[in-house]
Amino acid sequence: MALSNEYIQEQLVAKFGEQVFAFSTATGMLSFESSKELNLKVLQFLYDEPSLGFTFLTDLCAVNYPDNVGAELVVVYHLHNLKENVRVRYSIATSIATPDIFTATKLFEAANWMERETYDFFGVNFVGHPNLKRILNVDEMDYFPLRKEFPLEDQTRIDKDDEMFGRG
Amino acid sequence: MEANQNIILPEGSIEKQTTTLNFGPTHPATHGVFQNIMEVDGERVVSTEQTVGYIHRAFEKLAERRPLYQVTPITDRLNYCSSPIKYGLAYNLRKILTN
Repeated sequence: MALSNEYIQEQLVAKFGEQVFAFSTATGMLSFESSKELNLKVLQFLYDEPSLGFTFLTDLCAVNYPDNVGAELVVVYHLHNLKENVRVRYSIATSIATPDIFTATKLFEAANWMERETYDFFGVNFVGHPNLKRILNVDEMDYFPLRKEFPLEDQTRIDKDDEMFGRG
Repeated sequence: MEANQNIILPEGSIEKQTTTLNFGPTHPATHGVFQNIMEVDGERVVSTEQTVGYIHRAFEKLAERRPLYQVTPITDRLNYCSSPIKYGLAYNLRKILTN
């Protein structure tokens, strides 16, 4: 039988109850959230459960919502079930002051570099990662570029004409 | 010749059994994307240390501030195949925006 979004939702709620919330199927893919302590438990459950079998981590990234005080950084996992071709999106929110998330490298090898990239650009500290250092940027950088507080361009330049750049 | 004119090798360079080769960013096979510093035993690669990020051009940061029609030409320049892959993006965007 084809794995449906309702079935995945039922299984998750049966196992974790109120701790998984914000279920939504916009864009056809089930997406849900939970708190960051349940991180590894939810991933392990989605991996091990024979009827679910989400054994492929497609993507791991973060989003910065500067307006949600206390939940500014959201780490998003995209999981894929290769046999049934079903995807699921799992996000966990964390505060920007203590951005510590348990690492998924023991479960998924691909999470290794993806977590390094998320650390490099957003500053999310993955607890237990074997080699958490910057991967794409220079090692000496001391800021996190993709956070919204970091400006896109050099604000001290006065010679750029905004009209020409579509922002006039 | 004074002593400080001799070449100073890293620790253990004389005793070690493997050769260190630099499979650098400027190599036809890496396409300028990454660098591998390989420890090679004869013809067999024993271990490597990678440096990626030579092709990082901050697309994601640029896309934060630009409307869709300004971002699409940037995505065409991500890699060799990204121009035709744009059709997949258009299909999925249409699904998302009309849902």
